[in-house]
Amino acid sequence: MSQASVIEEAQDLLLNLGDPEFVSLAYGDAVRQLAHRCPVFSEIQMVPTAWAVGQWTDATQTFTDDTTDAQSTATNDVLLCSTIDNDGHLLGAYGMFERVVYTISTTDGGLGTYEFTYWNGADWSALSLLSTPSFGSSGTQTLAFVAPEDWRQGAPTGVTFPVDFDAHLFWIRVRATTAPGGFTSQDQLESLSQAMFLTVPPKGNNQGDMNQAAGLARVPLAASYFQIPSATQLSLQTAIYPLPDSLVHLLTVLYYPNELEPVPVAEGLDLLTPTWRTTTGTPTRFTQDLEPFPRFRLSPIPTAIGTRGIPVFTGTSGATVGTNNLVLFTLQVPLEEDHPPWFEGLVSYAMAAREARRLGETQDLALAGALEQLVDGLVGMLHGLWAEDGIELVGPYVSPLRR
Amino acid sequence: MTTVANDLFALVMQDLDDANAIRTPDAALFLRHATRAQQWVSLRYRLLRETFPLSLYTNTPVYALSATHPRLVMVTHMTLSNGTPLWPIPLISLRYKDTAWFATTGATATLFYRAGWRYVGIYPVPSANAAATLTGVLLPATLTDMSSPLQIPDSYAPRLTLVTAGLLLLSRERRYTEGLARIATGLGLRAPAQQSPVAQKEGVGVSG
Repeated sequence: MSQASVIEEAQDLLLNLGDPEFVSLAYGDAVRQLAHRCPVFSEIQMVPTAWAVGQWTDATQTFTDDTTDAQSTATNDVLLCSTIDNDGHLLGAYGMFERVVYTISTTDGGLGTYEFTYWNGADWSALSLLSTPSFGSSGTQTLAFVAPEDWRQGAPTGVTFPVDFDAHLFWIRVRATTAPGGFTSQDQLESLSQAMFLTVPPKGNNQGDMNQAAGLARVPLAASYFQIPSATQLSLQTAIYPLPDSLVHLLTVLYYPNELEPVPVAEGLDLLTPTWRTTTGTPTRFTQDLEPFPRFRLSPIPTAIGTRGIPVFTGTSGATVGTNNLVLFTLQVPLEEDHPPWFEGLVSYAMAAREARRLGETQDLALAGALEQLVDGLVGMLHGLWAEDGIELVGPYVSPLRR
Repeated sequence: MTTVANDLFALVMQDLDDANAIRTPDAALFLRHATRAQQWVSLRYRLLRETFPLSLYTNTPVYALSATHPRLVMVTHMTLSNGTPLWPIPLISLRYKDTAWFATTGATATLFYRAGWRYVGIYPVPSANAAATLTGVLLPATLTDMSSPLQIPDSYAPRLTLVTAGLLLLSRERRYTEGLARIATGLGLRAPAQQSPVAQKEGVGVSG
């Protein structure tokens, strides 16, 4: 069957008196409402915990992936900006992160000015920072902020990513609005760098050799003036993951291979791990209490580096196995192609009831009431069917201690 | 004798006591309501069951059934090929047995769980390919013409007749109370507005 046949069935119930346009419009609402009343449409999905970082070239709006260096312990191999104003770096993850820890190996000499923004789906918007990293100091520096509510997952418009790079991430951008060198273009940089270097003879040469080009060396007047801050390593602490808009209920979450314990904040995390906002480690719990829209938060916050790949639980032999994956068991509003016949019957009754209740020529409150009672009875019957044979109609998790 | 849709049509007209009272313009419309009625009666009393094989694969804990068995409504039983029955366990109870239930492998599965109606999972996860047998509640097929055989037992024909007549009364004649009462009686549900006159007449009890 299809949406068209369900609409036809609803029109039949209305003796073809329903407004076709309004009946069609009722389809989505009827499906959503019934999916909540019949919560048996499950999905199992894998969410990688991988993250990415790379250089941002403002002039060309280009991202150059440097994730491997950022996740290695090799020193000084992650450039955080350039000597061109507005260059910087982008950080992205499959979840929302609220802390980025830099291990700074080369400082910018305190000369850079930085801007911290996030991608809101349309534009780069300023982050409200709780902790601002100093790229003028070496060692551990922390960028901390509260994940913005309008932070959106997706490739920022206009940015060029490497071929085959999955850019469907939550992105933040760190730009040096005033680069450590303070240059606004490559040309300016080159001309200034010529001016700022002093040509000196190598040690041991006498004054007379000063004019002999072959024996000359160029040294910077002030090394820090050209110093590009770089890091040995970065760590993104990704705690919050989005759930699909079609979510009916989050059944459970696994930080593969272990299932996480669902806990509320007030009587759970606050008691069990009072410092849960900053505590890092291997996640053992998740909570949905704090979130204004479908998403969940891991506790402790994982710091292990996740990788993309084929989940081991698919049994696919020879595939590259992703690590530190999240596995979500959810109940969702089903896609049209996933509607079983019994569900389509309920949808057609519900659509007809809605149209019959609508104000206008076709209004028939008695028919609407009768169809609604029919749907109520059938939904109750289905619940009985599922429950009797042990299939759980899972509601929100309630701790055994709270029952 | 196999009861076909046309037999059901005769039973429904007989039940309504006036074949001309129902505005049933064509067979397609009757078949649509009869198909729904058969589905609801079948589900209510779990009249159709299907047993089918399922191949279990190494390291694969869950299996999607909706694509291969679209008429399956829910899995009720599962047995390994050697005859060992697996016991059902609620998905959200697995954590109390083993927090790594999605990864723990074993030579012989002992439990199965259902994630909604679409997936069935095995615990422990098979460490080698194996075979199992699933049994589940099935939805009857659509009645395509008046000679299509009914799939539920003949003994349920009275209930099927009541539900089909109820759907026709409700939708075609706008005799809502009467239609709902017939449906409730046929499905053994509590009558929504008042005690069904049909139930009173037939002495069929209604349950909650």
